[in-house]
Amino acid sequence: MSSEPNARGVAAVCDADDPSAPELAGYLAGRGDAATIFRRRKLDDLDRAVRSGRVGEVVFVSPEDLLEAVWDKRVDFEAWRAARVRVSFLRLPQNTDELLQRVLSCWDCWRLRRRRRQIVATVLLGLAALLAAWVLVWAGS
Amino acid sequence: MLGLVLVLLLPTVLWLGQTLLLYRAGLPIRWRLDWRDLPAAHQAAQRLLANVAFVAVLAGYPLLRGQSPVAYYAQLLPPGPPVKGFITGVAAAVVYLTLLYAAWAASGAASFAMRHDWRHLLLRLAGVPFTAVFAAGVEELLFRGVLLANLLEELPPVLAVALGSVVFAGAHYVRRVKRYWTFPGHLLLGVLLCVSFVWSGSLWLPFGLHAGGILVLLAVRPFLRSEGPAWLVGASIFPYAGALGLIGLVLLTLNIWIRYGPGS
Repeated sequence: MSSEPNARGVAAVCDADDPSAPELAGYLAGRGDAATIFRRRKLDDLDRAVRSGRVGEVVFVSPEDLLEAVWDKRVDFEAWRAARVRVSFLRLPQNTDELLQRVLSCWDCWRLRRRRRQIVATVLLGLAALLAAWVLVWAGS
Repeated sequence: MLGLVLVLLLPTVLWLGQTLLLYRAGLPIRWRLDWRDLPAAHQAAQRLLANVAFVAVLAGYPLLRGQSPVAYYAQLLPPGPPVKGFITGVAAAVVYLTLLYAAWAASGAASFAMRHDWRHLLLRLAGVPFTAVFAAGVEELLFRGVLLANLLEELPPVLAVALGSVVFAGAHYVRRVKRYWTFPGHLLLGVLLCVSFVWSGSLWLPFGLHAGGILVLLAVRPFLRSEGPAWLVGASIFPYAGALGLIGLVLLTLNIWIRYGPGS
């Protein structure tokens, strides 16, 4: 995103057990960067680190990782742009058709996953409310 | 007004302690209670001072009235049927808050996801019931057991409840906080807890309501991300500060009035 030399730290996003982890480590080592690795579940921490100015470049394995984080509102990408953070990807499709297809497929998966989470949350909260209502009636009797 | 004086003495003592510690750490003195940038040892000292000050007020109030603390608080937490007020309070708070969150989940006003690994999450959730009971217990003893009980001896109930609610809400903003627009939510919460004490005649009901509320807020917090407008759904651990939460607090207060109010 920015062509200026990066005085801030480099971060990379990858889970330790991800099959891409060795490839990412090799890529970073090849560049001579000592990057801080953030697990996908810790993207909130990465977002804080970026916005506090400690990180100037973030390497993702694929665009899907960034897109899902933005859609989940775990990454405030506007703030990243304002902070002139450089974003790069280990694997980026070279042709536009493939990129578009991957974005659409990622969007479908994300929506499905989100709907499942919302259903699970609603059911669990509803069950808790029913249980508490039962206790309430019992305590009032 | 002994209760009010003692409660107001708490931030004063904390500010004096903070000022001394800031001075010793070579940091500028500030009006607001905020000791997060103090060195770790100084922070520990300030936390110790806070705990000692709380215990001193809770024990000092009955002692200054010539009563033993145990006997004084035992009369506010009587055994037998009133204990059911605690269970009722917890259940009522859980019903209201879980329905509120369920509505947000169903409408997409909030998203829920696992944001921590299982081990970290279980450790965090395991401590929630204890935190809820401890935090609610301390606040109820202080704000209802000391402050409101004393105000009720000297003021008409409406004035006592109003003053007790304002002090309770204000106490949540003595330290530096991220947002101030949540004040009406705290104020209505204060009214709910104060009238629960007045109408039920013991601390069990407000204790239960308070503990049930904290229980749900802390249990849901690791999964929740508010996405709806803050004026509607509140923010983070203040779901009762949004418009829907405020309506919920009013309805819950009405429920308590129907169940425990005069003539119930």
